[in-house]
Amino acid sequence: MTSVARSASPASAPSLIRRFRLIGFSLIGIAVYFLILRLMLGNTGTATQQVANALTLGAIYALVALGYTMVYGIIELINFAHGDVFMVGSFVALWTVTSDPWFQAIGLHQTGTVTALPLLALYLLVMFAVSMTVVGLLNVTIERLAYRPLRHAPRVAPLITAIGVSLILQNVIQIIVGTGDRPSPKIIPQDAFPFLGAEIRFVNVFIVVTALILMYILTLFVGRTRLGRAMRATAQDQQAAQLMGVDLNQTIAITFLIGGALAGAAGVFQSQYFGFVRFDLGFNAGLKAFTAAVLGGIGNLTGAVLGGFLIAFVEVFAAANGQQRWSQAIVFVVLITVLVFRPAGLLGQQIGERA
Amino acid sequence: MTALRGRLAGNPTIDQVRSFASAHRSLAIVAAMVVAGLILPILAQVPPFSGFQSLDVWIGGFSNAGVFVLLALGLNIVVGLAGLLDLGYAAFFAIGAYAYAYGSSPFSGQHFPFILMLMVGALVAATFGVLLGAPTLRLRGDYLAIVTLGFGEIVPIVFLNSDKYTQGTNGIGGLYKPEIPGVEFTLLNPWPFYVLMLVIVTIVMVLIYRVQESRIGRAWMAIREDELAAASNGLNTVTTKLLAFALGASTAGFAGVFNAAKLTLVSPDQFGSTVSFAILAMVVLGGMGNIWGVALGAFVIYTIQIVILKQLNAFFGDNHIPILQDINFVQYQFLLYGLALVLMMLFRPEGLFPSQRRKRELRAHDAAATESEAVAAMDQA
Amino acid sequence: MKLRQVGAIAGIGVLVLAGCNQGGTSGGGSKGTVNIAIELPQQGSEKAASDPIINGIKLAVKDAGGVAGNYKIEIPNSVIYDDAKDGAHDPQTGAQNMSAIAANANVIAVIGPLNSSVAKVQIPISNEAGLLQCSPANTNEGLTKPEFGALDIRKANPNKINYVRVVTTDDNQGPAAAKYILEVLKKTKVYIIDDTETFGKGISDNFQKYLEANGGTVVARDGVPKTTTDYSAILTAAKAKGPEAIYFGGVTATGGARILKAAVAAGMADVPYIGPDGIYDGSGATKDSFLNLAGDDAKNAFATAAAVGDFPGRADFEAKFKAEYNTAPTGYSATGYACAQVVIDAIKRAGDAANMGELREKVRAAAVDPSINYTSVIGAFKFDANGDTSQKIISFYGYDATAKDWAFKSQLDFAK
Repeated sequence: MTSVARSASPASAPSLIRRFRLIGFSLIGIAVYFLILRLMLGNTGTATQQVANALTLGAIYALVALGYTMVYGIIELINFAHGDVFMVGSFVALWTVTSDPWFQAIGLHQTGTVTALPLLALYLLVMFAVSMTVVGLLNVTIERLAYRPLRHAPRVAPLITAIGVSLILQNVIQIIVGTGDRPSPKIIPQDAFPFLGAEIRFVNVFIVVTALILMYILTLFVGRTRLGRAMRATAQDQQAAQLMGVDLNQTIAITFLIGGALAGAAGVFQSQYFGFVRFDLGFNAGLKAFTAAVLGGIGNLTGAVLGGFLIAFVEVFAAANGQQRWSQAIVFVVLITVLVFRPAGLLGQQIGERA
Repeated sequence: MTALRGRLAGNPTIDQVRSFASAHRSLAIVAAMVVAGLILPILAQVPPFSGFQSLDVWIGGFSNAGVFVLLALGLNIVVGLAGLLDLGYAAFFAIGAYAYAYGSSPFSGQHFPFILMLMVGALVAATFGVLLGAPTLRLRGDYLAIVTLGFGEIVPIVFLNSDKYTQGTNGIGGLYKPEIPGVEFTLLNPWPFYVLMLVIVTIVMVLIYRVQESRIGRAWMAIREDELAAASNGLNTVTTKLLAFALGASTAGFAGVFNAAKLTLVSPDQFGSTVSFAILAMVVLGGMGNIWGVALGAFVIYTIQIVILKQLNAFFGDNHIPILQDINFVQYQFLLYGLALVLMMLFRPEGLFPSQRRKRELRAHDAAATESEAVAAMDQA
Repeated sequence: MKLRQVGAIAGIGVLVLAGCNQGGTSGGGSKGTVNIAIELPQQGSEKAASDPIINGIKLAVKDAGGVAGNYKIEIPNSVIYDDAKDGAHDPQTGAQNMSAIAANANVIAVIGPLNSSVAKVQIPISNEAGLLQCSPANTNEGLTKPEFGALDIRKANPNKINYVRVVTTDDNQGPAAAKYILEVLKKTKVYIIDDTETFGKGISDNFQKYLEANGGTVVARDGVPKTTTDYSAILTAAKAKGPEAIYFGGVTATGGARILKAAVAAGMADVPYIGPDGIYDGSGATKDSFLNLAGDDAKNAFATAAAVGDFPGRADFEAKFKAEYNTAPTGYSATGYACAQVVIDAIKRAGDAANMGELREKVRAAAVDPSINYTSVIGAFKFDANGDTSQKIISFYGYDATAKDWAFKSQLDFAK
């Protein structure tokens, strides 16, 4: 089997300049997008609203894409089941807020919005904690049972296993909850504040801000901690990392744990923003998130985030112009085009073959 | 299985048959298919199978299973022989089917003969295979998988949204049935379709076998095992891979044309990603690389899905067996697929009916595993 | 040649043999037992739609005493077919089932399917076999009306129709909703959103045609497949165009309730939301129904139903159904019951026949006879020359917040 060297280093600690550049470019990008929309739609309020829609959707995609890209970066596996663990996360979030026995014991299970801020904060905290933990652990378990034994098998084997795991997750959930939508109470008040002609809901801001915070924490972890360094080393060269004393199994497990936790957080967003969860959410979300990861440069954390937002921008743009029914096809065309002309993705480095 | 083979090996007649079969493989395939074609109707009339459904229904089911056998054979060329993971294979199936709809329906106003349309459908599908493959085949395996998945999603969406050309979600109906001089194809008589399917499958099998044993087949094997080494030896990997794609796609084209003629309707919802994954499961479970394994796997899985699971439900329900009667096996089928895929990959990646070569390849990873463990052990020491 | 002869002989042989076996079986029907086959999807979300239909059919047979004319009627499990594969209706499986049903010598007629796309592949088969097929739910006009291509699917016997349905077609239901919006709600600017599937898109097309021809405007139209999760972008875009009503073409399973909730979240809570009978599927208490999923967001929701909403004997039917099955009937239970009534009545009028083949033909001819007036639980109707019901009544329902259920508003008779 040929091994492929990658000179891309996933998220080395960004210097201050790089960080500012990143933020700067992002803001410019958003502004450009807004202007284009404004021109096409002729209405500032609508354009602003669409930008808000795109940012929120992008945040969710970005979180799921991060999980994909981290796992791929470290063991070169497209984890087909990642979208489905996100789906499981959304169900866990739903369950926490409606049926969690601890909550029920203190008479707190919710079916509507919560206006008292401390209580709301408590609920959200618990939802995130439970969902992220459960999905993180689920991901680790899957890795341990289904992927670790195949670590040295030909690439096609764990891919197929991943498809199998995806089917299992979907079907188990389907058997438990049925095939229809399960409505989720939105506990965040739906109030909105006016901004540039549009009514931006607090939940949109919440999602984007929380996602950015989570991503920042991730950057710190990967860049500054020993475990993070181990992850980066393993992604660069597995054997060399092992020779340097990195525990391969533990590192991979941590990667899956974090990727799963991020997907769990995205699951909370799904239940709170869209208000429903369904057993087959995972396939589509996973596909789009994976496209985002590839678009940004697989293995590259910043790339995954960038890709997530870009994909959301493309989707919203298509929808805003009445082409919603083509949006899925458009996303795939974007993917194929990127892969054909720049397989490393937007932020990835060119990869070479090494004997 | 090997023990049986060992015991049989001693027998002189069996040896004669086997050596003859090895020497004249194409003939052997034809003979085997003839035998299978004769045995299946007989088997279908034997209890308990005769109790499940009537003979006509079995024969109709065999023809439908035959479509999936064809699809599995075609995907096998791409995944099993050339080692390229294609996750959107149903797109070519759709292209073949719609090609037939354009060639032979009241909607298009054309009525070309079925045999001609078989070729046309295969050709059109192959063309799209090349069109898809040309820019993407130089990508790494995983990326190629995702690109094919994307293609598999895009094609039905295009058919769905292009109302003017494809009647969108309503599909194109009233397709003409096959005409073969001397045989009348009706919708109620399953036998002509059955025999036609047998003929098509046999021809495709012989073709695939021939190609597999030719230089192209060996080139595929080389690429599958070590692409860099193959390229270093002067093999044009891109052309070779393109050929695999084209041949795989054309087989799906055959299946598409046959299916369209039998169903007399094409519609976008027949070609979703579930179909692609089902065929992939058939190839994987049957034994990637092994023509017979794949064919058998596809046949068995289709029959289980359509007949056996429902019969299990009926059986347990009617006899009121305590826990099992409450399980709706049909509802659980994807769980079973998923489990089968995972367990297969973990314990028997070469599939149920493996090709010996593939088995050696897939088991080779055990050697690599020990090496890595040694490295890890060094660290612990 | 040989194959055809073998096949034909086998087929006729089977039917003749079955005919021979008819006499001498036990029971009240002196000429033997016949089966009515049922063909519906029974996996996933469609199972919830199909089960009430099966119950309605069985209730009709029970109410007729299990007898029609000189024949006993039975519906054993072996003639209840499921056309679902991989969790949803599958045309190929439907075709396979119809071949099996046609080949089954005990089957006199078939009731089903649920989905128009399955009917499209089944009608060629049942038409060739001359087998009576009654659908309680198909609304696509292309299944019966020649001007929409129906002749292509009954090629074998274009003048001996065998397919009838007791619900009226989308080219009535769609325009009815448009009429309601224009005349009753008095709105003209509509945003259409359909689920890109056969039923949803078809009915939206019909809706749009009528609306635009009668003074309304379509401010925007979007097609959203059922796998969509994020509707915020298209709803924001739609809202900017100032729609006065939203028309959803589709069923609950493809997003009816989701889209309503998203529309409310996008700030269009006061815009009336109208959908076809795909969202008219039970009260707020019924699991997975539109009202159950939409909750109080449905306060401005309306639904049309392609069948009579208010008919004499409806209360009776509901009471009987509840008594038998412990659950309230859905709209389709009544149409299933009506189809069974049609079949039973046809068998009565067909009289006797020497063998099954002849009996099937007699029953078919008796059923599709345009001069027959049927009295059923959904009212009185006749079949026209294409097998469509004369009852072109569309019922309108609005949301009743106190009862958390659909409340009947009015009816429109397109036949007039």
